[in-house]
This record gives sequence, C-alpha cells and structure tokens, in this order.
Amino acid sequence: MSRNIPRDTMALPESVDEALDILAASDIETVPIAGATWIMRGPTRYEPIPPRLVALNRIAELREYDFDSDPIHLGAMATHDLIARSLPSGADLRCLALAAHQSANPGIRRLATVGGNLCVVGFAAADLVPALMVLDATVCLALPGRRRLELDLSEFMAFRRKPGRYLTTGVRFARNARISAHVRVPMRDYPVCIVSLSVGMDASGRIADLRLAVGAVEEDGRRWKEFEDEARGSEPDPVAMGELARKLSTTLTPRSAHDAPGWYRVQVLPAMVRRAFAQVRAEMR
Amino acid sequence: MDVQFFVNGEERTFGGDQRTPLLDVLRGDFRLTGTKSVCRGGFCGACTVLIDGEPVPSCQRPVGLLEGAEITTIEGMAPVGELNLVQQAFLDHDVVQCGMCFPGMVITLTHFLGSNPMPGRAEIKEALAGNMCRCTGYERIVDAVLSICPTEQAEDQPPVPEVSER
Ligand SMILES: Cc1cc2nc3c(=O)[nH]c(=O)nc-3n(C[C@H](O)[C@H](O)[C@H](O)COP(=O)(O)OP(=O)(O)OC[C@H]3O[C@@H](n4cnc5c(N)ncnc54)[C@H](O)[C@@H]3O)c2cc1C
Ligand code: FES
Ligand code: FES
Repeated sequence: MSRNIPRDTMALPESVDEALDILAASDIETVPIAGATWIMRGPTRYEPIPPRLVALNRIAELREYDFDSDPIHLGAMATHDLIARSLPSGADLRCLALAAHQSANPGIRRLATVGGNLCVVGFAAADLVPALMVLDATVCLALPGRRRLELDLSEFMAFRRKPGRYLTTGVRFARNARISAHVRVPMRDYPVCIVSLSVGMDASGRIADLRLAVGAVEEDGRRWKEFEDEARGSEPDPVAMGELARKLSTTLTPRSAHDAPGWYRVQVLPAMVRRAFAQVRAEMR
Repeated sequence: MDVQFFVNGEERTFGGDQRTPLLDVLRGDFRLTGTKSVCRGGFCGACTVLIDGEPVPSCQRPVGLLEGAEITTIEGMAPVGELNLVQQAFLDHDVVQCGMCFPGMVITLTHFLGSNPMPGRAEIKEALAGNMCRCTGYERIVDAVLSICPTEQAEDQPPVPEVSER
C-alpha cells in the first residue's frame, strides 16, 4: 500500500483554530482523526480512508482533563482507557466508568477517544453516548470563525448530522446524587443493545429522578423518554422494569444491520433494562 | 512529509502515505513480518505492537501519527536467539498451534504481566479480550501464563469438572 500513493495526506495542526482553518481550506475530502479506530476500519466497511486527514493528537486543548472538578471536564482526546482509569469512584459515574471499561477491547480502548465516540455519524453502538446522556452531559464545540458553542448531548446528536465543519473540544457533566448503571449485549465487536441508567429515589424508595438511554437499537443512541415517563413514581423493581420495557418497546424504531436484525435488539432490551435496575439495586444495598 | 520513529530501538524513516497503517509499514517496508495481518479491523489483536509501551493494534495506527514514537514488535521482545518468559512458557507448554495469534498474544501478555505479576485466571482472560485465537481454546495459554507467575494463584484455578453419574 505504501508505494505510488500520495504523500502529505495528513495535517498535524497544533491548535483548534489551525485545525479548523485546514478543514475550511481543503478542496478535497478532509476529515479530523482522533484515535482513528473508526476511520482506519473504513476499508472493512468498504469505505476508503478519506484522502486527507487532520490529526488532532498534537492539540493541547483537546488533552485537557479535569476529573476532580465538578463539573468534570474531559477534553475530546480522552481515551476510553483513560476515562475508565481516571474517573472518580461514585455510583453516579458508574455508568460512564463501565461504558468506558467494557467497550471494544483493551487495545482499542487505549486509542478510541470520547470525541470520536460522539462524532462518528453512522455508528449506532457508541457506548459512551448513552452513558453521557444519562449524566446530562454537554458537548463543547469549536466552529469556523473562532466561535465556540456548548450543546446538550441530545441536541448535539442532531447537530452532528448537519453538513459543516466543526470540532468537538470536550464534554462536561456535573456530579449528581443518583445511582447509575450500564449494561450491553456484545456481539463480535460492537454491542447490539446498550442501556445506560441513572436513577434517584424519593424517601419511600420510589423512582423520583430517572434517566434511561438506549444505544445500538436505533440509528442513534437516545434518552428513552417514553420509558422514563411511565417508570417515574414506581418501585425500581428489576423484573417490573423489564416488563415495562417490553410493553414500551413498540415506541422504539429498531435498526437492522449485519450484526443483528432489529427485532433481536428489541427482544433483548427488557433483559438489559432488568439487569441495569438490578445493578442499581445492588448498589443501594 | 517523512515520518521518523524508532522500531525495536532503531531509528526508521517512512516517506510514503501517512495514512498507511503501521502494520503495512512494518511488514511491507521494514520486512518485520512477525506482526501478523489478519482482520485489519482492530478486532483480532494479531497485529498488536507496543507503541510507547502500550499494546495497540498496528492496523489501526496511521503511520503519520507516529512521529517520534517508540515501537516494539515481536522481533524486539527478546534479544535475537533468545525468548522472553512468556515465549518460553508457550514453548514449554506446547501451546502454539497455527501461530497466527501468538505475536500479539506475547506482546499483550508480556505487557500485562509487567503491571500484574500475580494475576488470576479471570484477569488473564480479561487481558486477552482483544486477542483472538481460533485454534487453542485459550485454556492452555492461560495455563502457560500462570506457570510463570508467582504462587497465590491456586485458589483461582478452575474447578475440576464434575463427572455426572448416570
Ligand atoms: C474492533 C472494534 C470494536 C469496537 N467496539 C466498540 C464498542 O463496543 N463500543 C464503542 O463505543 N466503541 C467501539 N469501537 C470504537 C469506535 O471506533 C470508537 O468508539 C469511536 O467511535 C471512534 O473514536 P476514535 O477516537 O477512534 O475516532 P476516529 O476514528 O478518529 O474518528 C471517528 C469520527 O469522528 C470524527 N472525529 C473524531 N474526533 C473528533 C473531534 N474531536 N471533533 C470532530 N470530529 C471528530 C472523525 O472525523 C471521524 O468521522 C470499536 C472499534 C473497533 C475497531
Ligand atoms: S489485524 Fe489488526 S487487530 Fe486484527
Ligand atoms: S494458534 Fe492458531 S489462531 Fe491461535
């Protein structure tokens, strides 16, 4: 592969603005790369590696992390491995710690970044997305013209589909008093169903404050509001919650792909919801 | 633009396409064919090398990202003509079958034992989550690794399977 092919196919900017300028000035398809675990895998999906890459690994701003602050700030280049090792322990953050620790495999976790996980359009099974959704994370963006913007993660999921050049610079999320969980059905390499849960109880032990996000089932991860609305005020009984998930599964639009048909993703979802609530219950004891 | 890095302690320069996976540079340009090319998708671990001391799949590393990096391939895991502890254990336990997965296995496990000198069976298996083996069924690999670990593994041995009486 290394013979008779173009050189200077990778730019190595040192700042966010420089990277955006390169992206804006390019007359050929030019894309940012972070951990490169999606981009380099392109040929196995019959997608060629884009002709020009803008490497983000030299940009110091994207490597700024503050795990001890509240809100916690993760620069876009934080790898899954770094997140799994560095997040403070705490039931509220357990969803993200598990998502980062269980995704992919150890070698990939050392490379794949949170920025890449959020920005890759067409990858429905990103583990960090539902975990960050139930943490009410916001996404920090840099736009052409030296503009900066911070979006709620759900808004960002719609934003990233619009054409235009931007960089994700990081994510931010506050600590909270809820208990969280993250469960998934792995299948070869990508999971086929993911549930992230974050739940707060009232004095009588009923669900008062609930966020539940589903990944890998639909085209994009999303908060399952239909479930949240019905479950609020109930006891967090894993079996009952699994049954509720079964009842409400018609509110989802499952996708079929080579790794699993849509019906299968929906079929395993109640068991995932049950397991997520069982994790929460175990944490409560 | 040329990319300069170190492979097994030797300075190397690559002047081709910076998007080229390190795997292809190692095998095609430097003739270090111990690193195996199997899935080319970050899934099987056969192409694992150490980059700045961390085991990662070389098929997922565009070489342009590696300016100044220190890369260790299976050829650099022990002096020529010698085996490292993990390699020797694999030989002693007659673990290797087709061998495609083993360069990656050796790199992953050598790194793992560096920070976990007394692992249990389950920990070894977890460390191997990114290294697929189609031949061995893993158990003998784990046995070989446990054989070179200091004790305290006894209680972590798998239970002897019960033979049901019919
Ligand atoms: C075998 C295998 C198994 C995997 N399994 C899982 C899994 O189970 N769960 C999981 O979550 N992930 C999994 N992944 C990893 C998946 O590729 C990553 O999670 C992630 O989506 C890519 O992160 P990256 O940094 O490698 O992104 P890259 O490949 O570098 O980039 C991905 C996309 O995001 C864009 N991008 C990257 N960073 C930015 C930024 N800062 N701003 C704007 N755009 C950006 C790029 O242009 C590109 O379009 C797996 C990968 C492999 C190879
Ligand atoms: S060839 Fe690189 S992980 Fe399989
Ligand atoms: S020995 Fe053949 S793949 Fe492992």
